[in-house]
Amino acid sequence: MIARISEAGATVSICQTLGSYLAQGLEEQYGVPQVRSVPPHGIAAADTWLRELARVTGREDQVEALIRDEHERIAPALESLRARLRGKRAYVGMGPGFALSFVNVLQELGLEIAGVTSWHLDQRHDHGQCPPALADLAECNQDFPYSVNDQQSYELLRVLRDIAPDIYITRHGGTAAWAAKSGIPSVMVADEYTAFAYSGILSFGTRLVDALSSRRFAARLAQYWKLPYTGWWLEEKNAYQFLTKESG
Amino acid sequence: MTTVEQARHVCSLGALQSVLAMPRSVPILHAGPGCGQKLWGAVAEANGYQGAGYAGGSAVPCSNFTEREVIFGGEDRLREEIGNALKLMDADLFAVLTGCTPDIVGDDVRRVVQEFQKRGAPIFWAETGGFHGSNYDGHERVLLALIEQQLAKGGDIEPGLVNIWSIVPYQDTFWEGDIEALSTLIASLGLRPNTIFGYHGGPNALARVARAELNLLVSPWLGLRAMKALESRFGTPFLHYPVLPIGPAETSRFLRQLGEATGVDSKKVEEMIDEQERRYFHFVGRSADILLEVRMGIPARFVTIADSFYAPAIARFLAIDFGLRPEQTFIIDRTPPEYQDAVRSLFAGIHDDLAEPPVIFTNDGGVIRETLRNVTFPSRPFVIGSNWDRVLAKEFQGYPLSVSLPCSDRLVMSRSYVGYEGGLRLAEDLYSVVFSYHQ
Repeated sequence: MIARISEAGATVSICQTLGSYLAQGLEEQYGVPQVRSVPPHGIAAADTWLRELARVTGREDQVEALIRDEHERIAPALESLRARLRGKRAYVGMGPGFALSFVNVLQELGLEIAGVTSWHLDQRHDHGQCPPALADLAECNQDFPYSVNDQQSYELLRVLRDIAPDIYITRHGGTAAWAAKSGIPSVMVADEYTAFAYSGILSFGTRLVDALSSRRFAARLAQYWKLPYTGWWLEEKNAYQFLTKESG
Repeated sequence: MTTVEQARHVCSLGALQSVLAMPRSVPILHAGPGCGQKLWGAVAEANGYQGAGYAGGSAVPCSNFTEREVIFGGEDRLREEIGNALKLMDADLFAVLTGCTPDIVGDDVRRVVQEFQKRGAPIFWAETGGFHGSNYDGHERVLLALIEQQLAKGGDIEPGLVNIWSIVPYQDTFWEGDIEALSTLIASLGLRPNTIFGYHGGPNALARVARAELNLLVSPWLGLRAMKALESRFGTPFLHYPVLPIGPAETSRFLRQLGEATGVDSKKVEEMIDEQERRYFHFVGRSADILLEVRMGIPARFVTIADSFYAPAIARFLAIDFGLRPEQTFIIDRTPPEYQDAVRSLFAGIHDDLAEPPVIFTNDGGVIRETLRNVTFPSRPFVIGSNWDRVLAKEFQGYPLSVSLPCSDRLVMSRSYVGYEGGLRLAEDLYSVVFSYHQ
């Protein structure tokens, strides 16, 4: 497969951050067009992604019918999920590409975004442009806190405490359990194909419903679990205190 | 005619195992050759490999009721069998249990047994012909016969003494561990548990039954008739707790009710609960990472195929304490229709997204298979049932754990899922199925 990689009709990448180097090289060296749109997490992204893939491979005549059929197919199940998820507040902890994809997915499922945090946020990728996900976000008319690089456990716990979301959606390994120990149900998105396209959003939505209906687990755990931080820190007014000064 | 695929319990005569569950007690079967062996094989062998124990398996005396007894009656043969068994077997209590044939031809077993009772032999009898019902029914028949023919008032009430009546020995793969776990819980409130069945049971326990302050029935429906019989015979009140307590939420509720019924200081009860819940959550919290962050995915839903003791108990534990969704439940013990609503009510409201989890009463593997083939599982569920269900679970990639007869893929000695500790055990066993699958 790798031997024939330069003969491909197009490059799509699952992770825009990590995939852009190879995609860029294939495009520059061998003329393999890259699909630059965000990965197909959720409905709108899948639409755009399919259209872009159709465009670079010359299948524009087929793509609209596929999109229409898929929208119709998932509509009833999607509506049922939205009815159960509407208005729930989600906090997202993921890398910038996934985070922005999942902001869209969560909104498509009817949730509100209580905030987002990422390890990093890149202004430019290997293809020289602003990552599409960030560009899309900059253009949309939404207001929620977005913080970068505050994923130390002590910081996360303070932020979750302040924001008190209904659910924490994470792709930052090791943080899901801390959310649960603070009484907040969490969903770990380890599998990058989670919420992929039309069937994917339904199974992800179902996972959220399951996680939200299991909040008793987190609530009971938190009731008995002593967090490893001092009361001073947990009650501290400024969650970002250590960014500006060290405690004396 | 209805057929039942994949037996998950046996007939009334299976109650021979309830007799064997009382130390130094021996059943004498007045039944055809083979009945005992088949029943023992299903209930005690292919079910955790519990074994013959003191006098079970091939050691059980039997009248070998055959054609001759069908035609001429089997009373003489039974008289001979009892007489010899009393000389041969070193036991403190004997129970004559009838099979289908003597019940059909109408042997007067009562009269034969009474002859021995009049001579002071420690013996009672129960009509347990297989056509009467299941071994759940047979167990209660043995309890009622025991109460009526054997138990007697024996002195003053012992304060704090609580008789434990609950699961069906041997049919419940974990019965002996369960009884020990219930005893530990009762003792933790400063009460004195009196166990009729299991290692600590037997003649001394039977002698104290009438002196108990309370009869505790931990059972959805089975045993209620026996509790009423004890109440009318000895005036002992009973507490009917309908769920086998598994895990912290149910166990704490159980202790509160038991404390209230026995007048234990509620402060003491709450201290005990707090101590035990803290310990439970210490272990669950310690492993929270793996429960929440496994790449292979941890089941969010489960199917339970078990009796009315275990199915509600497991569902309540996994839904209330672990937040999992009881996708489909099958109850396999032929719960009498008049008790089905009560059993169903044990599932109501235990899950936030499922007001009334679906519950089907059936002991037919065919119904179970066809029902589950029509369920769409969004992710891989736990399938908590019997060894039969391992095969079915493969069809939808379920993670199987056997907890119900036939439990022939496990060796069970003192293991129990009852109590705080039992909840941890069940969690260990369930999640180990997931991890071992992916090795």
